[in-house]
Amino acid sequence: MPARTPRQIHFITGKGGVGKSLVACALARRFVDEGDRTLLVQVHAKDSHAALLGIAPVGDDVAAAGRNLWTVNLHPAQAMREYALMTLKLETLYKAVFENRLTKTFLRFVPSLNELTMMGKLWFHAEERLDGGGLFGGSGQPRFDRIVVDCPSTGHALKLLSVSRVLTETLRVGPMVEKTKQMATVFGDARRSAIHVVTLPDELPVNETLELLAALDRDKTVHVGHLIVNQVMPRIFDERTEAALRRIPDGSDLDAILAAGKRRLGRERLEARELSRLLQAGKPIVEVPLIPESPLQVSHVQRVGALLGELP
Amino acid sequence: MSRHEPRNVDRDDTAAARRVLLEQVHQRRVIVCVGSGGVGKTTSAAALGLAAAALGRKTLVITIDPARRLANALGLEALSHAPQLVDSGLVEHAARQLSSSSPSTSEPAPLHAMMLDLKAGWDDMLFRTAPNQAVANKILANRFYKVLSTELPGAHEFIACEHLQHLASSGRFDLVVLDTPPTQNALDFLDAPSRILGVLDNDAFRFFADKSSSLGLRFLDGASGRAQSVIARFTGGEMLEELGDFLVLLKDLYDPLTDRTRRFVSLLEGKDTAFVVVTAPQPTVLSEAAFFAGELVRRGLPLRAVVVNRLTPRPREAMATLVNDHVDATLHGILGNDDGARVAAALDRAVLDEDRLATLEDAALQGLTGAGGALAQTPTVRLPRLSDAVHDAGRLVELLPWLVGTPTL
Repeated sequence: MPARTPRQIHFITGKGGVGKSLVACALARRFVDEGDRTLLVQVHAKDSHAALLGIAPVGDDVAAAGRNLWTVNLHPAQAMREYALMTLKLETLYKAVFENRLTKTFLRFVPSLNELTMMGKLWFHAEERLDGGGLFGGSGQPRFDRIVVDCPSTGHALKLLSVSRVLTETLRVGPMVEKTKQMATVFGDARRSAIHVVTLPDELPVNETLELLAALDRDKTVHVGHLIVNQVMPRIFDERTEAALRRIPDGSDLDAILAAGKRRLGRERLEARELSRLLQAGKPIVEVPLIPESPLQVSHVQRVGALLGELP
Repeated sequence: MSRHEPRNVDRDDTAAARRVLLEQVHQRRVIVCVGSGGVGKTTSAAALGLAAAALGRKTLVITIDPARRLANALGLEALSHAPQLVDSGLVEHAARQLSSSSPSTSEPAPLHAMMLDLKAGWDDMLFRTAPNQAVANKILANRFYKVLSTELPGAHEFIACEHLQHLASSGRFDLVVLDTPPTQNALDFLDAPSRILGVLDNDAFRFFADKSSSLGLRFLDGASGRAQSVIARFTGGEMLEELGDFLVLLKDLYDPLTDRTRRFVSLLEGKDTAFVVVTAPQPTVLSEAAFFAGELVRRGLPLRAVVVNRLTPRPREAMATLVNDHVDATLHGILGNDDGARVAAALDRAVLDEDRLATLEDAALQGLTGAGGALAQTPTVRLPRLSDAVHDAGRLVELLPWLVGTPTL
């Protein structure tokens, strides 16, 4: 097998409640355990990473959270300030202009500004160097070998990633459009960035996943990496066991147990059907089995991290 | 439901909570279903709407989610921005299902469903509120209108509330059920009115109004002159001009929008409305629901019931059988040694897994009750996970007794 090039930037998305944060934390955990300097990012979220990783609450600034691990919760206002400062370089000028109430009204109408500034911050960290260099020069080792981004819901992730196209369409030209073009060279490079979609083996989440994949394919702004199917019921009924189960007549004192078996069988079959629909998307799939233990346990995160071993 | 269905979802307090939910369906004009994504919120909204229609109230269910789940749940092909009539056969089926536990003297009433198209929703409102057609058309043509109607934080939630109020007071429906948009942060929905009005800041608009519209964005003249050039460096100058024109146009909308907002806020806060928090028995989702419930109460919004979806049935009887009976011997007798052993192992695992999941879910729910707070104090209905997902109309009817009736065990 050829040596895999480690990919630096991993976006994790999926609809609410499918376990995006679990997967993001598990992937970050795996990178950290492999000795990679890893930045784990939440996007304007109610912090769930602290509980999943057993670390201190995650704040708005990039902060060390353990050996090789840094965390941050991106906040639009904060990202905006940093982005503006990157452009203006002068704190007093920023205050005079951006904290003016009329300007604030105006800025709310700038399309995709939140998305732009947040992507801008990611871009900045992706280009940061250990020797202090970054977007404005320097060529040392990257400060972060890996950046894992726990994206908000599906729709929001699309908006984040399509910011370049939207801005180009609305504004056509201008400094913001130039910035997004530069960013696209980083986020659009399949060797460097990918998006992974987390889903559940159920009809509606699978429908939405297939729609999201179609939208991502149309957009072509980011390479689609893996599909991660969370909470898959471990299969205990193969065909032979199923056939045997069906030979047992109703009406015995085993009915209660048989009912539980049939519920399980029904769910396994339904999930198998949904998994085969996902397979048709032609992307590599990682299955994370449903483990009847609290997902908030650190050992659980570690176990899921091991399952994600094939992500480059 | 067979007699082997769960007992843990049929506690006494759940029966009382079902009566509370039934009252909401009978009495309110508006029911707002809120909660995190992926907890069965749309299904619950559809089921509540169906129950209301079955009990004789003219009902509309609104979703904002472009996914087809509401359509599927109600047996429709697809939903549009215009309310669409649900097959009356489904409502009658629901009425029969509920007749034993909630006898109703009224005939079943029509049930409608629609998917609010945000852009179309803003367009509707624009033409309803603009001083005249010409202003509306000018606003419509400006490229920043698209930003206002689709991208501003709170734009979705604002137009959902506005439409809710508009439709609830149209006289066409006795009850409107809203399936709220999946919010990244539950608070977005509650903050929408003030956020949008904050954007259309009254003082800022007066400022524009004082100048002639041809001045465009020259509000940044004088003391703020430097600001203009700085922002231009940031966004490009051409954009400033056009945006200035747009803001000047919008000033006429400020008063009507404020008025609309006042109306829907008072509707949402009043006795005609019920907020129902929908959740699922997983620790992360439950803590979000608890947070959201607390915020509703803090803001004086009427939280009236909680629905916990998809509980794993606790297989009490099956566990007892596993422990006490000679399951292996019986299975070997029926299936022979080889198949008997296979099936015995599979059934053992199936029952134990269900029991462990049920225990985990109970612990998550109990942790929440123990913590107190608004969620713990609100009547809570618990629904079992049905063996198949509830995507088609028939299965939706099956849910009704668990939601507002008396399930037969």
